[in-house]
Amino acid sequence: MVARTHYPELLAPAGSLEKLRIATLYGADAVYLSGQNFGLRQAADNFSLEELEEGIDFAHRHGTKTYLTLNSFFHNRDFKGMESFLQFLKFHKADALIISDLGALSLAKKVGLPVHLSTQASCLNSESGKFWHRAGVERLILGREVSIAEAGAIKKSTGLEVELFIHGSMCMSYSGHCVISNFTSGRDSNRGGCAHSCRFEYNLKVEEEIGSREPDSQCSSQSNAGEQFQGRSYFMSSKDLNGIDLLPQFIEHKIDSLKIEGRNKGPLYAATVTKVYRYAIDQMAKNGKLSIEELTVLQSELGKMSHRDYTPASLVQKASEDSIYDKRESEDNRYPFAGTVLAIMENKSVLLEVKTAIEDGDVLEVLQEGGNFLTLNLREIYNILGERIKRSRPSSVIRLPFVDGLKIGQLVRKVNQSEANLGSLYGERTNMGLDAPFKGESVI
Amino acid sequence: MKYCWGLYHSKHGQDLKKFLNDLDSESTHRHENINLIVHPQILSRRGRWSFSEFENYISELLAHFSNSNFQINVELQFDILLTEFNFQEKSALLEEWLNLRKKEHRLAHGTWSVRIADVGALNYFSKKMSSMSEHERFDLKFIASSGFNNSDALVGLCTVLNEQNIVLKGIVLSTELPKDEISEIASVLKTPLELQVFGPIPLFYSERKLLSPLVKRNAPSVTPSEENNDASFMVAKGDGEETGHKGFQVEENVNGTFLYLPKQLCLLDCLDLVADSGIEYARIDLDPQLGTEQIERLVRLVYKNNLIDGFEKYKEHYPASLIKGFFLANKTDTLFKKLKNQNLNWSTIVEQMQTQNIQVRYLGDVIDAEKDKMLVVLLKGKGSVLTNDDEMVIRTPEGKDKTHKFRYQEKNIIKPEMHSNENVNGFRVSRAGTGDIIILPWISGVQVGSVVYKKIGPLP
Repeated sequence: MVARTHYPELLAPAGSLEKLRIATLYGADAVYLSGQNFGLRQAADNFSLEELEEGIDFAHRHGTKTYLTLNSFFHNRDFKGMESFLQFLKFHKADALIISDLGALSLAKKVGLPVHLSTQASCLNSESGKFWHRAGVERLILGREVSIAEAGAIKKSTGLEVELFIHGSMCMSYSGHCVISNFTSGRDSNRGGCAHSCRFEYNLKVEEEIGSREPDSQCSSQSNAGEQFQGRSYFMSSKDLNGIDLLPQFIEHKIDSLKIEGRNKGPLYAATVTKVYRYAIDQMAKNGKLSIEELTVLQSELGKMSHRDYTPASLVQKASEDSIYDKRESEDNRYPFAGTVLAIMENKSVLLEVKTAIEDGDVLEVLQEGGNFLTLNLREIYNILGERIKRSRPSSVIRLPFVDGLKIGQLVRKVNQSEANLGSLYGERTNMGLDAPFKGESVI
Repeated sequence: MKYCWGLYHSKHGQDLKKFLNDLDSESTHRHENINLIVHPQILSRRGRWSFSEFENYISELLAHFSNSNFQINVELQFDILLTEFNFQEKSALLEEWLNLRKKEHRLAHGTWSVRIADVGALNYFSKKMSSMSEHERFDLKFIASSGFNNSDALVGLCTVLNEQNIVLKGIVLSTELPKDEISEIASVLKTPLELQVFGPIPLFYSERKLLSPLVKRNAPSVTPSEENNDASFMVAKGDGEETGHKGFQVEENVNGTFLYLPKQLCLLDCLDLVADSGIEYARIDLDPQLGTEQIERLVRLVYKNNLIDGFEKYKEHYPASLIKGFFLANKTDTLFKKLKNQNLNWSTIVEQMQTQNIQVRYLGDVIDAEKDKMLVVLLKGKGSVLTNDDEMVIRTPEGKDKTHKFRYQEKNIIKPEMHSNENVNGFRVSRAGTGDIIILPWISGVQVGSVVYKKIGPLP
């Protein structure tokens, strides 16, 4: 990996131990994760104490930092057990805490752990940064409404490290300023229970009013200009953030950390986005720029994951109407997550733990940590017992002929047939045909 | 308890001034301390006041109430959020306005305050205040609507400000706090506390314009007026596809888009509980669409101390359903836990076994299950070891425990990286450990995702 002095840290989501391992191996400089309590992603698997110990140790052995999220908006009773949890994290050398609450912050300072201010606190300007600096934070994770140039100005003005989101799903609301779930679903959106009401479709009747909105005593609810729109819309749903094209600007403004959203997302997402941004940052460090061809390929890779349409949101200028994702969400299955390399029997066979049904004739792509994708054209597949099968069940283990170059833990995606012959990523594609089981032969 | 009145536009300001004046002229009325909260369009989320309207209003209040039973305190609402460059733009305007206020009158026997939601704005005003003389200073109140829901956070806030010699004159608590938690906060905080007791419930705040794009889409040739006119805004009624998402009031103005619950908050019939919890200021936010008559009745209800009987009648004619929100109880953190299958949660299993005085060790998960044929288990647990005759327990998603005695058979242990069936010391593989894959006979009821563990004896 290229030395990255003066280049931003790549911070990836780790919603589980498996995803921590993946983000680490695919190139994250740091990962953020949560214990079973105190975080905002209660739907994620999150980490037990044993897993935290294992995860922090694994990350550190690979030179990756670990930031623990405790970014709920805590009520008094939520502090129960927090200090001992922080002592546990201190003992296991967690690198920092992500906190949005002054109460939790004071506990963290007492225990002696560095604190990054969560984006939940909606820190948007240098005055706010200075307040939090005095309160003891060491890094500001700025609100998604802040542009790259503004983040640079805040860093300069406060002297604090700044972190910006570069990729992933976005709240339409200012973070921490939405309580729709609280009142409609009885779930506290700021304590891990967000029901994603912003993604629903709404039937709207819009009226425009001009001038001061003062009710007439005779006719207090009438608008001045009348109805302007009536219909259905996903008007509160945001497109997903994608800032890879803006990487030079992040570097120019000396942004310290680039964060990928998505602890609830799957392992393939963690691997793909981390791999793509790792490559981009390393190329910037190596060549000082990304070519148009490279950007095209990287965007193409980001496009292969299921995602909403992409937007730069407010990274350059205020998010416009183009940033609204006004359509029903649907899964993009062109490149579904196939599974993980589970075991390798030298010169004999390979086991894949598959998540989706695989059948002979399928084309799989193995995401290698640093380099090319490895393409596997499956001609025969077997169950774990070595019995020939036509099609696997989803969530099962299959056996493939041995393929040189695979490593345990690598992720595999399935390529939709219509996409199988498209261009490669990062250079030449290694193409392996598998036609003879258990003989260790591969055809290139 | 003192009342604060949230005024979104000058018409309501004039209405309230008139009704308070009427009350004042009724000789029986006792002395009252009243806070009028003015929401200027340029600094607040929902307000329509211009600064000149605000200045004129102060002058008029001085004229009306200089010798009255009422002490009028005026509060300026500054609750929008501003990113760096917008803040810099706005701070020039704030600077100008602060200079004006320094030169102008102070209220004759009242005070004026600025109410702030962003700690950045709080920091800005704190710095300004430190360079002001005593008589030029004004009060600061903090709107703790987002992330200051506990005693320690609020104490921490006051501590940070005290280091700058700033003492808050009030903290506006979140309506998400139930009365018991408010009492706990009040018991440790010296700062007077305010709580909304009546009016619209805000749900959502975005800086993005979310309604005008729909209008544009509907009539591309028509440019929505708001682009050229800061005083224009859009309103909508929104009905979502899911239960509980009906009748939202949506508003877009120059500061962004806002959503309000169709039901409104009302604690007027339990003000004794509000007072008992330690709240000093009860705030009534006047819905922008309330008519003059409704405001007059509300004012009389509040100041004639006829809230419970009178309010039932008032409620019947109020344009929205009224609820108590989370004041009596807030259980919004409990439901979500049920969404996960607790049967497979390792902490749950450990707790259940502890009640039986049994110590357990996590071994791994079932990763393949083919009916009548086999199960495949990946040993993930740290220090997992399985040897002949070890009894393993498999917890199914339904919460049933299936026991199985592990028997080594040829090829039923797969090491992640194998070169042969022998380990590095030349012994045949006959014991499984962490990272290994084991193949077991099919066990009815076991599915992929089932948790595998071992009982290792009684609790120490």
